[in-house]
Amino acid sequence: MVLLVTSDNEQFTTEKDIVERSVLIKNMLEDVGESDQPIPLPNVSSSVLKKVLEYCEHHRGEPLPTADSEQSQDETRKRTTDISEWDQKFITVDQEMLFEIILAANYLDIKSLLDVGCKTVANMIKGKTPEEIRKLFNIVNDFTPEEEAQIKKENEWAEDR
Amino acid sequence: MLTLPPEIILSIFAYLPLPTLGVLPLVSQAWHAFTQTHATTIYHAAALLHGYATAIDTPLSDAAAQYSVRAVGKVGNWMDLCRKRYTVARSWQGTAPSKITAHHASGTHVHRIKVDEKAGYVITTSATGGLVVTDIEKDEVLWSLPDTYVRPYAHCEYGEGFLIFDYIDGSKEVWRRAVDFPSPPSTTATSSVIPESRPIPRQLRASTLATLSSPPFPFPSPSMSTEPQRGHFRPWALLRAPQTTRAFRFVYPHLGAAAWDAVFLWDVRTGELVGRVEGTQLGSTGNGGNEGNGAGTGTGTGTGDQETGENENENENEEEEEDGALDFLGDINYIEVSPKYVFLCGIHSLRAFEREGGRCVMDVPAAGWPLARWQYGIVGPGEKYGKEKGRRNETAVQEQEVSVVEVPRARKNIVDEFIAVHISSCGKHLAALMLSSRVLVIRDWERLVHNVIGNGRRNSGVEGGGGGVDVYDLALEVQLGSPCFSARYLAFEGGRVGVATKTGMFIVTPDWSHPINANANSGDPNTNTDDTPPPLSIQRIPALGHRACLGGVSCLQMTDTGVWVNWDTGCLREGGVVAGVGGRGEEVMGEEVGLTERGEERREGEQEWDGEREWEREQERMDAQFYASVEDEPRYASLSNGVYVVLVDLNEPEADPESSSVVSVDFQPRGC
Repeated sequence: MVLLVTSDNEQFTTEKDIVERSVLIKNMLEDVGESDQPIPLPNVSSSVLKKVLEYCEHHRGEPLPTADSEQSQDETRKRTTDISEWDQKFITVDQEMLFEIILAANYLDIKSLLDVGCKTVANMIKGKTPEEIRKLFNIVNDFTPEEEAQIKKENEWAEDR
Repeated sequence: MLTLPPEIILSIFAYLPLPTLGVLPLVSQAWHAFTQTHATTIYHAAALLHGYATAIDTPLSDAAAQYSVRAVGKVGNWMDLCRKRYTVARSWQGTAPSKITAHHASGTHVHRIKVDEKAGYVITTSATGGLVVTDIEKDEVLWSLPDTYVRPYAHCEYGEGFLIFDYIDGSKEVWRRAVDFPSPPSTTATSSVIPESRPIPRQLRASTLATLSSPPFPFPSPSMSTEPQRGHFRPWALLRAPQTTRAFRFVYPHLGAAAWDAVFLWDVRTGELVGRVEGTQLGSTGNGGNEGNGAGTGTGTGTGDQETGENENENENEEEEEDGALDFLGDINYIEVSPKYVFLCGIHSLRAFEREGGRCVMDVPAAGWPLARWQYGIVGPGEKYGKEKGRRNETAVQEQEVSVVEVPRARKNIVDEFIAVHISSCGKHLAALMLSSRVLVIRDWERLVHNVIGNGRRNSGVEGGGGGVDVYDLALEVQLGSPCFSARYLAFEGGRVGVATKTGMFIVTPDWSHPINANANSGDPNTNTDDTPPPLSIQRIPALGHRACLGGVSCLQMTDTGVWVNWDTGCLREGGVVAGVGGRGEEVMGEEVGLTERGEERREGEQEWDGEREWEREQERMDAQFYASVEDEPRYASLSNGVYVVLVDLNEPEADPESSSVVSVDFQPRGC
């Protein structure tokens, strides 16, 4: 059993093989050895950790990516932004939570979760117009029409048709 | 979103395709700045995503070196590579500019064309004899063999610097790019070639003469004796087949030549005969190798399990299968070679044989059952581009509106003829051309290998452990122009199928990623329940639309950035894409219409002639003729045994190849 403490001081008790999907925690546990000391996670709030642990529990027992497979991961990445059905459901959260999960996955070093998060954001952006992306992320168009025309021209080659 | 750490944003952007990446800088100043700062990372990832670079550690220079100078020019950075590759792809679709160029240096009467885009030269043989190597960009002769040496209508193959043509006695001449010869250069330094295949004196004499009469001039050039010149070839080997062969095909390093009832395979590097497949006419489908022509032990799958039992012809099928023999292949129209297989187009059938052992692993009869479940055809010009006239001056291709119908699996005794077949470079897919201007695209064709008998004929059901699919499940059939006019030539390159028929010039691009929906009950794990026809796009090249010129097409080649064809340049408005002959219609081959490729020049003095308008009008006439022809119904002759034979080219005069030059449709980005 492992004890985790979140930024808002909530305590989570979980099993070692679940939480070890996080390379950060795995390394910590290896360094510390068997101990009842709680592990502080000052960058993760309780609501986010709950989600992260849900993810880890579902994927428990799956092989962790090794350094060797990093390369091939990069190569398969190009093929697809497909997300498995369970992950898809899991990651259907509001934008704020999505970003928090991504940040937590990055901090805790859970590569597969980080990938799911990044793919999800990519899928949100894919195929959208600038205006739609602004709306998506609450961004204000701060270009002058001349600037906009100039940048549009520079990127014309990549237009879909 | 920009509040996320940059490395996370960059991993998100790594999933985005180029059209979306092009939109990001337009979102806001901050996004623009971010994409500028990280352009290298972003476009490196995009190059991987789009397959312009194969591995994450491929350097830019290596990625760029995969492509010809014509295709990418000098590549400055990853974004530049992405821009050029993406522009080439769009250009093939007709959404970026393309143009038509005549290459005069190859001369007229062009018969066969081979193009090495990376090396930058075009090789042609001629209807009057001779062989010429010309520079693509400069359009000038680099090297040639005279008509006294290379026979009229010589067939020509090329790959990896090896050039192969048939000598008048049927032997195969293998010449190799001079710069590739082992140094120190010596005309006899062909030690890797076995003695009986080494060049003979006639080749060596021809080589000396060819070098003397080719650039660089003035002669004698001081460099000539030692420095091998670009585009020059030297004799490498002479291959003699044990029997008279009718067709040959070279896919480095193997040359395959088809005789009436056998195929011979050489390794051109050594000149050794490395394989043969015998009994191709009746095709043994057993595992026992070559013995017993088509004694046909079958493959264990042909046991009449026609579960749908649709019609009364079932008995007839059973009979066919019991003796296991295949029908005669007939005269050989074409041969294709892959590392594992040899493919033959006979007039009655399309067959694949294993090179090892010679077993026939695929047989698609040109008659009997419908060849494909999905049948595509052209309806009219595509919505997007067809109606925009302005586009004509920018692009040489025009997307066509495509129809698709599902063909029932029912017996159909119509005899057509396979005239050519090509395999994709990945070896997974086949494209075959039929006389009636139909293309058959067989995706994942190796799934047929375990199921030989009756590939094209019947539902083979689920037994036999071979996946239980037949050609009907895997193939797409595309009607290109009128079925009443014959097909001319087939090319298959980079996932695109190029076809010249007597009614038009086409580029067919199936969506290869669409799942194949074979029989739902086949138990095959790859089977998808999605039951829609795969999307497929057809581009037509309107300016290459003259019936008479199309009838004279004897070769069509495709490279990364071009379609190459022999064409009467008198019917061409060079650079632009509108072709015509001043409204003279079909008489284009006649002498009285010797328009130069620059129509304006020739008509000097005739003030009232408006070249532009004439070309336009001619193009409209050709387009109208084409779209009328796509509505043609196939014509059949009925044979006494209830079989219908497709009739093509009724009353159609054969074209005169006289003024045929090399013409290319160029899909290269500007500034390369």
